[in-house]
Amino acid sequence: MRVLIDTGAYRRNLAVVQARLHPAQLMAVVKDDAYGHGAAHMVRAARESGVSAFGVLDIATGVALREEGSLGDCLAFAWLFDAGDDFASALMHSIDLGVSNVGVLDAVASAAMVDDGSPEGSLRRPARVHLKIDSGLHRNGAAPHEWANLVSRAKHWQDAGHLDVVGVWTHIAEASVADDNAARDVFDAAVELARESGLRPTLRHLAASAASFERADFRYDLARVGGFTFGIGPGAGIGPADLGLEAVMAAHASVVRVDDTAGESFAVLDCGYLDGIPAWSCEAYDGATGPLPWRGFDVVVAGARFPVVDVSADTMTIALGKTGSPVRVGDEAILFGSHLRGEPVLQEWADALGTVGEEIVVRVGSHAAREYRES
Amino acid sequence: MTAHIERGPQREARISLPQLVANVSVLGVDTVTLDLSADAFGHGAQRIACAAAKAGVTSFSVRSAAEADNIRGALPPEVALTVGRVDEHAVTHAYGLDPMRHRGTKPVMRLSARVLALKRIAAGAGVSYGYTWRAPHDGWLALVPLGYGDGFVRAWGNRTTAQWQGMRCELAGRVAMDAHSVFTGTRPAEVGDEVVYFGDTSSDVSAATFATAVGAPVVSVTTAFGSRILRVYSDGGDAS
Repeated sequence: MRVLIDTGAYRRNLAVVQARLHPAQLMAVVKDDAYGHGAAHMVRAARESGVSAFGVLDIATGVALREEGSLGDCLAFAWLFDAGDDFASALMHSIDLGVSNVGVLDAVASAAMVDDGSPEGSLRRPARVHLKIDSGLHRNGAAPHEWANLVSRAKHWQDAGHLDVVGVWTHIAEASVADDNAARDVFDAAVELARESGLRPTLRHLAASAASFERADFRYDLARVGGFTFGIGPGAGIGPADLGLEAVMAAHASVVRVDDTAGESFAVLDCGYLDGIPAWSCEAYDGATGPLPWRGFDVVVAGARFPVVDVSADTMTIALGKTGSPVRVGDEAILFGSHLRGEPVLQEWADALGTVGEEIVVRVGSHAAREYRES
Repeated sequence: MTAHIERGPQREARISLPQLVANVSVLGVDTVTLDLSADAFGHGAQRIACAAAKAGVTSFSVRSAAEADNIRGALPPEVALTVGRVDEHAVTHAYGLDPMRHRGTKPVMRLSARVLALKRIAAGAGVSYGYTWRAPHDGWLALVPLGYGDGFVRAWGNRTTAQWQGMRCELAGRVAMDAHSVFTGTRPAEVGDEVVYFGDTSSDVSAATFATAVGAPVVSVTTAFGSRILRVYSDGGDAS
């Protein structure tokens, strides 16, 4: 299987998202190896398009991208860690830290304080911290009743020169308009309390792809966008074409066999679930119980669409219909790609498999060798 | 200075090489062909190849010439290495992925992760994207840094359970790209506590339990696990 990454498509998507967010700033999320697209390549392309803030998930990823050189002096934001993580390294590499609780805050502040006499130690600056409020998702973030305490502790450390609270942020559930409005109100109250306490956060961020695209009142100073920049739609029937976006990743395979059985033709492709292709068959929407029979999606061979009827470890089988199909051994099969070329898009796979496009690209992108081009 | 917490890796797939050796012995070291495709289906081809060869296995296979080139150097020169199709049944038995243990083999991989953060939740409140899970009563959530970006299937949320301190806990809400939540009931976990998914000797929850929950082939489950899940090899008497 071949995975093709189009950095030109990525840059056009970034331009669409940037125009939409303006005057709010874009934080391009490149966690999980840029959703399987290759973080170093994507960061370089994004910087050429004027992006200067990146979401990297964790400290190790931020440090690796900083050392590799692609990040330059751009803002790099990490948020997944506990109090035992390597904050000294984060500070040395100027990683902004999303902090949810006092235990982590104290660990960050302590790491910022250490001057062990080494050249690196004396170079340490105050930690740049974004405080996180839980606005209803119940994952991380301080609960509203814990917020005043977190803010007051942060003010204490800021006054002592250990950190700067540069941001306040949250994640929203995108469950319903009413739920999201409620989350926004919790967020606004949290920002207000931080300001009343003497903090001056200039980076307020709440929204990811869909919410920042849809709602101006969710954009604040910054929006964290991953999926849309890779041309992945929000699902439930909405694909990249509806948003002016295009797919960045395409996956191709080869026809290795054509079988004729009782008047029907089938073609076998040289890729399977060992290449990360999902082979499950669960109901399309959460809340339903039990697996359903396989629900198909199409691939394109020789300009025509054919349904996938089986995925095994190392093969996929497509139905060609009645014998006499023009499909031949050696033909290239396009599993998914760009709607601009008439190819099946991730959204079709995601809807058929009951998941989101993001899950498909991270699985496929991390298993195959990637080829880059700029269209 | 805050002391760093002493802890294991945040995400761990513990691979029992003694159990692999026991499995190939049950299957017959002289007759088994051990498939090492796809990095030994997520188990780590180099370590699996060495352990099996040392135990007397003389026949190996992979699915491509490129994989053969990668693994040839780890094998003694006298053993056979063939390139061919993957036999899913053979793989299932060798790596102990058959929950019925028809051939008597047991799991080689045990999947676990550490609690990253805690969250109190009120009865009826929703969790994660779309609020697809709501708390049946007041209680506690543990946030665990395993998500579909690690190959931890998104649809496992609301469909599977994890074990924390011997208790079965629901995976509450949608699995996100980098994390999911586990409902530990009225007792909170502690940051750093281990949560076990499958493959533990003290439990009959297997990788197949997770595969069945979403109608997937069991071999696809272990193969999909990404590089952030640290493979830790046990060589000693511990067969867990």
